[in-house]
Amino acid sequence: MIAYAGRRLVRALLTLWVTLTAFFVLLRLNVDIGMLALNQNASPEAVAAFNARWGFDQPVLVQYLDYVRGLLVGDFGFSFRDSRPAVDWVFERLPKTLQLSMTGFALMVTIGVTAGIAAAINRGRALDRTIMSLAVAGYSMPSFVLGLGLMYAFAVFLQVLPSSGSTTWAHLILPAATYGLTGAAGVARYTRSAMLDVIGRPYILAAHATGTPPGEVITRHAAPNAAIPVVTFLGFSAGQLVGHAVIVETVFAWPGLGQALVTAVAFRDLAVVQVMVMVFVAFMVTANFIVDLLYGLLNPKIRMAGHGGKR
Amino acid sequence: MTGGMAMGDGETAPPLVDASALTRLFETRRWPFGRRRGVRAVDGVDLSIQAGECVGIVGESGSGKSTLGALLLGLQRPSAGDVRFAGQRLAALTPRALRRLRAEMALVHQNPLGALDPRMRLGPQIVEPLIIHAIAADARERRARLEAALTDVGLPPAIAERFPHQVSGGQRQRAVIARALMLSPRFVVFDEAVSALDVSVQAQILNLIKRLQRQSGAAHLFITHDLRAVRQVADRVAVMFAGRIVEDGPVAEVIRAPRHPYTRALIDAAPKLVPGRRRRDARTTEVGSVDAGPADPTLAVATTPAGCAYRTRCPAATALCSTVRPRLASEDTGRRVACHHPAAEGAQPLAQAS
Ligand SMILES: Nc1ncnc2c1ncn2[C@@H]1O[C@H](COP(=O)(O)OP(=O)(O)O)[C@@H](O)[C@H]1O
Ligand code: SF4
Ligand SMILES: [Mg+2]
Repeated sequence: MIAYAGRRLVRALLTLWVTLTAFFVLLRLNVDIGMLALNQNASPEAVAAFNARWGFDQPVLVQYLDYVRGLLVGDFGFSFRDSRPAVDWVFERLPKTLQLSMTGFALMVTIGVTAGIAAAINRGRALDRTIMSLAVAGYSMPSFVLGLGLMYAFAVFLQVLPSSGSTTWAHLILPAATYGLTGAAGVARYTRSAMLDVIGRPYILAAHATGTPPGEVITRHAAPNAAIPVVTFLGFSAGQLVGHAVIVETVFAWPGLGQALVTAVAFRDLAVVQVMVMVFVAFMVTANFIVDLLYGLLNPKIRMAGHGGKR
Repeated sequence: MTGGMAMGDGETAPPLVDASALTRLFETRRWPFGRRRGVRAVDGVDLSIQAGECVGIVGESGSGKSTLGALLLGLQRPSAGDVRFAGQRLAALTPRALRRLRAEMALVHQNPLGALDPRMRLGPQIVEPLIIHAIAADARERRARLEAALTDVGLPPAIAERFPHQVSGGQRQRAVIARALMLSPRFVVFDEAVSALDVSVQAQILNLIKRLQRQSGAAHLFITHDLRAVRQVADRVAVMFAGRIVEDGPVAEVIRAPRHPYTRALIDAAPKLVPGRRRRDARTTEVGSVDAGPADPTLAVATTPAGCAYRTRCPAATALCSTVRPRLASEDTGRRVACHHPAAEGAQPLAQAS
């Protein structure tokens, strides 16, 4: 298991580094950054001075080495906008994003898995059909539509929850619900099909034949086996994190990283964009790393692949 | 009850398992449009099994063997008819009481890899019935019972630490058997328990099953499509066709002198089953079913409101066979057969008789 975790960790770090490098180069290809960052009417001298000041007149490789050298001592570059270290933006915004996405993710998993299991157990019955109709609706609805709908219902019409901002826990409810419900639709569908697959296996029949109460058949055998593909799916859905964060934070004026990323891009604030992208990538890579670990824990075949599992 | 007991005609010990007029209908989905179609997977089966007896069920794929096994274990509800276990009507039990009764029954499934939870080590799976039925509460006792069970089925103790994918097919089936026998059940259904194994391993597992049955005195139902396996383990055999028992009796008798044309066809299709009798030539094998594809009970139900379901394949069929369905009639030899024109005792092969 340790060796397995080690291999996965190396892979995660490698992914992070490759993404970072690719992104760094892409942002500098054929682009006059000074021109973009200032504006169309800026004098050529001003643009040249800007490029020289921030090092954009250097070859990309030199810039890259400089950047990496900086990273090693914790220097992530500076914002064009206020000359503050770019990481300051992250430190300001990250807690809010974590708060929102963790709550949303927890909601997504709880609602999605519960609904999926309930649908699978009641396959073909009214409950199953209701849950699956809702899931299809939720899956096909863009998250901003759901967000605006929730906002209209609870903030404007019922007036029980605030529509935007982040000052109290009540502010968290609508954006987290938007995040959670959108994701839960996919999780529910995936959980249902994973459960149905497992429920048809002979060992489930064997458990019933042993006299295992139905609830225990689910908790002892069905759910743990169905969890293997579901966890994989959750890992993939961590990839949608950025999109979710950007949209939900924008709709609800939630001052997190997603919203900050949108402004940073609008201002061509290169260092800030770069560090934020890194954070998002790190987020995903971590999520996938955790999934890999869980996967190994759940699936003995994967875990033991290293030490001669006989076939 | 009417299911004539082949064994022990004199003393009438009540059967451990007793099915009467047992029927299981599967309704295929009829919405959105299609007509309602039913499959009589099991159709009016009378069968009783005595403690200590091993009854074989043979029949081609789709003849309703697995469904019959599931009905006898109360894993499926009959559409009509009754199953009694030790005198208790299974259908009358609450789900809870039925679960408790499951400690006395077990199922050994065809596919030993599928029958084991791939995520669990073998040891914990084998002792799980003890936990479910709260029988051996402390870990040391469970450990002891695990080791005893492993020894019983001929597995080394170290195998308890393995996962199902790490052991061979034969070892897996032994583990499944160990789990099934953990609670010393009085009734065990083996559903194609050796069909997925290599021939050499099959023989070992069959011997194991036979030995365990002698030791425990449990009643066994041994489902298979392989007459040879039946001959090896069973005392009595019931031949199923299209959801019905068409013939039953002591296994040696039935194989030596089959009365029903379908039984004859099964025997003829099995090579070297009876010493001296060789596999029949192509013409009769074609009639003789096993290669002729599965019976289609849907067809039988839909197109034969009356008559014998086997008549389209039967070389001995007459006009009577297409109008009147033959009843499974007991004979004074302790055998039962459902056929208007059963082969006479010691008859020549049908092809020559006709
Ligand atoms: N759950 C089910 N739903 C619908 N039809 C079924 C179901 N189980 C079995 N059947 C049908 O019942 C018939 C008997 O099946 P089965 O008992 O599995 O036969 P066997 O074990 O002899 O191969 C087959 O035609 C099969 O298609
Ligand atoms: S009843 Fe008629 S058709 Fe059916 S098996 Fe007997 S002889 Fe053949
Ligand atoms: Mg079967």
